[in-house]
Amino acid sequence: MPSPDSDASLAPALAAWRLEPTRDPGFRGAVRARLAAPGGLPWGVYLRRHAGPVAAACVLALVAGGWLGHAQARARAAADRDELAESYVRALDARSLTAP
Amino acid sequence: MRNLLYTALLALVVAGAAAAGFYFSQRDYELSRAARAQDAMAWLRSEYHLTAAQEAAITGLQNEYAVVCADHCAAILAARKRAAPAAEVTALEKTCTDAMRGHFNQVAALMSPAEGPRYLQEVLPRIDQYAHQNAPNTRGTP
Repeated sequence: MPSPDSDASLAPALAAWRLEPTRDPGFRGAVRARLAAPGGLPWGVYLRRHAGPVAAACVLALVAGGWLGHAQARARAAADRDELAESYVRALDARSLTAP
Repeated sequence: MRNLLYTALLALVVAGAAAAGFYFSQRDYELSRAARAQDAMAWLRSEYHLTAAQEAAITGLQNEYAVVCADHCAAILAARKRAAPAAEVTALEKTCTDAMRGHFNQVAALMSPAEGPRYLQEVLPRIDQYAHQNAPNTRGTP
């Protein structure tokens, strides 16, 4: 815990303290250049900035992926159905059972 | 460029997850099981929505037809063994295919009015397909 004496000696020092930063005329330009540089913008910021196109791309990917999965499931079912129907008919076909 | 790549990867992950989700949720697992086990009755049951009574009746019909089919097999084999004339073998094969058509029509009649024609549409063309797939060639060599 600071003593009242040390507070008293700190107060004039703080009162006399002046911060004089040197002006960097290229600061804004450097920030812009960094943001514009490839990979300069953090991905989270990039996503927020391009929320519309990113959301559209995700919806498109969702629809395309869903359609592909649906088509694959249908193709698999069709192949299974075809295999079963073929073996069912062949099992009752004396021609295939006696094929040389 | 890096951000664009990350975004493309995100879209790819979304597409992959959607594809997997739809594929696994829409697969016909009963059909796949039947195909793996080569279980024709399981296929008929699920594909043509058979009731227990229809399934029992069709099983009975198939058991009866198995005897007929075995007779046809024996006749065709015997004809081939004694190198019977082609016309005789063809006639025996026609008897076999006619019996198959009759059997399939009987099975269809046991199904519901909506499923019977669908079943016939699936199985009847396969009788003729076999004849076309295995038609003798014109070169006189196998």
